[in-house]
Amino acid sequence: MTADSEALALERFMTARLDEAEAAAKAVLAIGEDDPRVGVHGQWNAYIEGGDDGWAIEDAAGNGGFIVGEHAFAAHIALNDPVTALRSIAADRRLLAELARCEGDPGWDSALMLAARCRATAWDTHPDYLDRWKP
Amino acid sequence: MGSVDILDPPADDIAAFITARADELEAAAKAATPGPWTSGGGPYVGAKGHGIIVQARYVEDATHITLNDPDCALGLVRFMRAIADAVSEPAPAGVLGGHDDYGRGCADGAMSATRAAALWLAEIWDSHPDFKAAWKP
Repeated sequence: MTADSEALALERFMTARLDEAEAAAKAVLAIGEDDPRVGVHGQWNAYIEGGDDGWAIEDAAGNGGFIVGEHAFAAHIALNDPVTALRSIAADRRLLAELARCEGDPGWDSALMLAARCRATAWDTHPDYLDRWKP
Repeated sequence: MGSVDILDPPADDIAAFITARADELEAAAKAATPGPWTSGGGPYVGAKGHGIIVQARYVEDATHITLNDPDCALGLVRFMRAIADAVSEPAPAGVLGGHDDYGRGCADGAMSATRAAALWLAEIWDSHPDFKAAWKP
């Protein structure tokens, strides 16, 4: 496989994963688009519930989303809210776009290909991931 | 504030910023139960050994949370640390193409690309108080 086709295969794999994550994040943000009282919008915060349910997730406007229970789960979920996920996806797409654009540019292509391979390890248990992409 | 070449930010600053965000993400992900988390198509998220850990109101919330479980976060953390390390420690001369002008050009190009990738990454947290406006691409 040539370096170009390898880059294309990796780009397709990563794009498919990013498409999935983007669709999921956008689906959350679409909840209650016409009614801000419905769903949790914007960035999420973990907060302690007044009742016996422990921790939960709310947005900046104080809309309560759902029960999480343990603080460790709530803190992780809040740090990985849909807004932050979409920003991360945008950074990944920028990396892939520049990788395609810089083909044949000494230094840039090898560095961005290595960066893309590092990033792709996040999905290394996916059945479509190829072991030869490991950095 | 003086102007800063977006391809030449002070490496230590942006590496430290990315590393700090990676530390936060990693600490939270490692404190939570390892993935994979599962939703089973309902408004719940389950984790092995913990049963249901999230009672969401909507299936969409559960799907998003499942796709962003601790394993996924730790994958991003690995990438962030690789970029922070690479931008802090340039590859030794000759690694990418010899010690001639071409080799030096490759090394310079690789460092510019790595710095650019660091900027794209840092921009995820551009509302963080430690994010510097000069890093905005």
